[in-house]
Amino acid sequence: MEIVKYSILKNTYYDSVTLMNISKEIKKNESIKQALVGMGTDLNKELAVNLNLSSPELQEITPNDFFVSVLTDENTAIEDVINQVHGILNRKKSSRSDDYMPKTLDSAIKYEPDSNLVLISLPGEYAAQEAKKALNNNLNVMIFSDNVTIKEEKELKDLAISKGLLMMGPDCGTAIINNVPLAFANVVRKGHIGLVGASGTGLQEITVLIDKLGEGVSQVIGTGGRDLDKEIGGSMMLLGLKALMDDPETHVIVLISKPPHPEVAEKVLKLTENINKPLVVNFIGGDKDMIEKHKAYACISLEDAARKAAALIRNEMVEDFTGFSQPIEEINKIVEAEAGKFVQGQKYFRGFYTGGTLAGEAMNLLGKDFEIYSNIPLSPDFKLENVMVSFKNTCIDFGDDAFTIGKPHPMIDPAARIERLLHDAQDDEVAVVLMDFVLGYGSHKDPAGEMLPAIIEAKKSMKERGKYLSIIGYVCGTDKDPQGLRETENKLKEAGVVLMPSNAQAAKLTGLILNRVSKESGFIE
Amino acid sequence: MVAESICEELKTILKNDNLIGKIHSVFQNAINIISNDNHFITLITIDKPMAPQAIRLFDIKSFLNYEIEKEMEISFRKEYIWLRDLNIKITTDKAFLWSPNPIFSYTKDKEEILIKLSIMEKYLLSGKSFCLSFLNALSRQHTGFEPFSDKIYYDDTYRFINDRFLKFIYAFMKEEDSIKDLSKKIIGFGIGLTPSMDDFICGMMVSKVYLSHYFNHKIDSALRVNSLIIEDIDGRTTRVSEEMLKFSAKGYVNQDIRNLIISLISKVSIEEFERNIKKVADFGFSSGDDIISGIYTCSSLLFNQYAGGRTWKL
Repeated sequence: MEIVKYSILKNTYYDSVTLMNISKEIKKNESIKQALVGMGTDLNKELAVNLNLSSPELQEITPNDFFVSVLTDENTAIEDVINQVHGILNRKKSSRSDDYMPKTLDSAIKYEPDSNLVLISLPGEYAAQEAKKALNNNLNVMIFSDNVTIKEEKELKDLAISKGLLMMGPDCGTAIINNVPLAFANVVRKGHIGLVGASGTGLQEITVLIDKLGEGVSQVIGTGGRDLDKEIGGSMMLLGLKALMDDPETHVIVLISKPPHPEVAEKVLKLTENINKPLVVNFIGGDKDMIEKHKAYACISLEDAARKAAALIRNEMVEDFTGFSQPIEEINKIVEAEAGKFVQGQKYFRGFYTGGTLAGEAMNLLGKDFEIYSNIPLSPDFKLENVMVSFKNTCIDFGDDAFTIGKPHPMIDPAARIERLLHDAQDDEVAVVLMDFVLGYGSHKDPAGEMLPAIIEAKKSMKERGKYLSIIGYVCGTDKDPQGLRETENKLKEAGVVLMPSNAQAAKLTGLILNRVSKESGFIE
Repeated sequence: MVAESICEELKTILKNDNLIGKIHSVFQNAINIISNDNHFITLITIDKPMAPQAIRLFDIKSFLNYEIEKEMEISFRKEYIWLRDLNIKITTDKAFLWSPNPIFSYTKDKEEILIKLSIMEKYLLSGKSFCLSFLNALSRQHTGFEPFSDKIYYDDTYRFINDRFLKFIYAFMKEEDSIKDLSKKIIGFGIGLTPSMDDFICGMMVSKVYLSHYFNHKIDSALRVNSLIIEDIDGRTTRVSEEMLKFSAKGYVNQDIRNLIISLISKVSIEEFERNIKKVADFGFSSGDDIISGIYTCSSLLFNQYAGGRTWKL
């Protein structure tokens, strides 16, 4: 049987944040069917009558009395509810209120006065202003937003440097500071490899592979994609590098970026001349000789960078990694099995990526053998005329502006990639689709599950036309990520996706399959 | 301790009387005091905007760091305040004087005011104001509120207040004497030390004062309606809310709300206007949003009434 139980606290005042939290918490209690929390104003008392939550005693209270009235089963002790209220109030006294979401930076600072880093994810036009405010409050900043002008970025970074603060971004997708993943980041082991990177998914890929190799990271500092442009001059990479050089927990340093402006690259590498720690540098597709001239380890791929960093931590021999984790015989078997199912005319691949750097790496690795059209091409000659329409070998970065204006990033919302996969599965010349699935904080809660119906449908559609669609995939994630690495991989394998242990290996396998097809048909595209 | 600013009216009261008061309530950023002659005086930290009957203090980050308790006695003298039990003395003689009076010396904005109203509308649509249900109710009776029509709140609370609220709005706009009784049926409704409906009415009343000036209407008539709303307010809502409503009926509000309403109707950049929205939005859990709802509602209705209906729709 349900009855009304209530408690009155005479001459007791709480601010609205506390009252709202009390109300929410009480309503979470499953034995409570209806609840009213408030001050004893005439209107609130009348509402209590209206909601059948009143009693004669409740009608006697004044606007300066606080009350809680609940409709609950007779076995629920009102004391339990009151204790719940007191628990919330005590939490409030210790300045904590988990449901309270400060609406401005000022109130957030007041609420958490010990914070020293602000993550800003606002429309670009507002982000710079808030970042400046944060820096002026001596807070380190990470700007996730894009659409901040390069002039604003320069001013913010100059201000940060004058104060000895980090200004990560704008367009900084990934960082792990003191073992806390920020924005798009994976749950990886704590360790002694420190990274500074101007590439979000590049940092994710290296940190994930470091974790899989059994090592861990000290700090992962993002700089934003334009940091190594001439206008910015690599200021945050330099600051991050200095910080890692001074950090006793960092024993090996990894730098990662798209090819920097040559002057900036020189400036960054010059700083490393007196470095007392091993340095691994991956300027994706950049000048290898310049890196090695400065006694740093240059890399072939993101995986190579992770493997070299792990080897250096373990004092093992550092070698280029160009192959596969599996024995070559097994790889050949996969190539034969996949290529053997295609029919005449199937010869192109489509790379459908959510991570821009992973797409770039795939094109770098495949670009030696194939002409690849893209929205982010290696050469302007291969820019897609219409990014919504694939042409021959095509690799798409779905995180590019063309796909994300007014829409969430594809790591959060895979709709654009689903649509494209289903569309391109109607193309009889397509043989292989190469895809990434990025796990970790910030990403979709089930990126594989969300794509699965489209993968099954695409394969089915090809099969119905007497063809075969090979899907090569890579899951960038660790077994500690919230989505679950094993579950994700199992789903994809069951749907017939060939999974590889790194993006580089997935791209290389794609290359081998396509080369096998070309060889068979005598056709080289 | 030193006071940074003091409300001009309060300074005048303290000049003439030696008041003794008792602590009514203590929060992180404010202490409320009721004097022996029933003045409601507030001490606030430097982070809070100046407000009617307030004294703003340097030095103090949180009143919770002191052992200030309800019912403690506090003495007000011409030049200082003394919290006897804790032996805390706050000098007020060098504090800046802050006037709570409405400010009408601004340049009227005729070009961007509608853009600003639509910015407010967008903000409210994305916010979680308790008052969204009221705006939803208005959407069925007044043009200009359509964007809120899909914010559906058909719960018991909504049903309880909906008709009363619409009748109140109607009387408010028509400036009918019935507002006196109708206000009794809605004041004090909602959660919070200043219940949500009171925050909303505060926004309505202060807008009525400022918008009357903007449209070159008699401010006296706005003040008359407002005074009817608060005529029988004593004991109907919390003491803090009661004070807020009495002051806002005269167009007296804290500095942030005043800046917001002035930036709505004066030649102030959109950026500054947006900053002012954010500042007010930051009050309490939903108090700020509820006040903004009131300002938006009154301003929109008055534009409908005096500026040609929703022909002003952008």
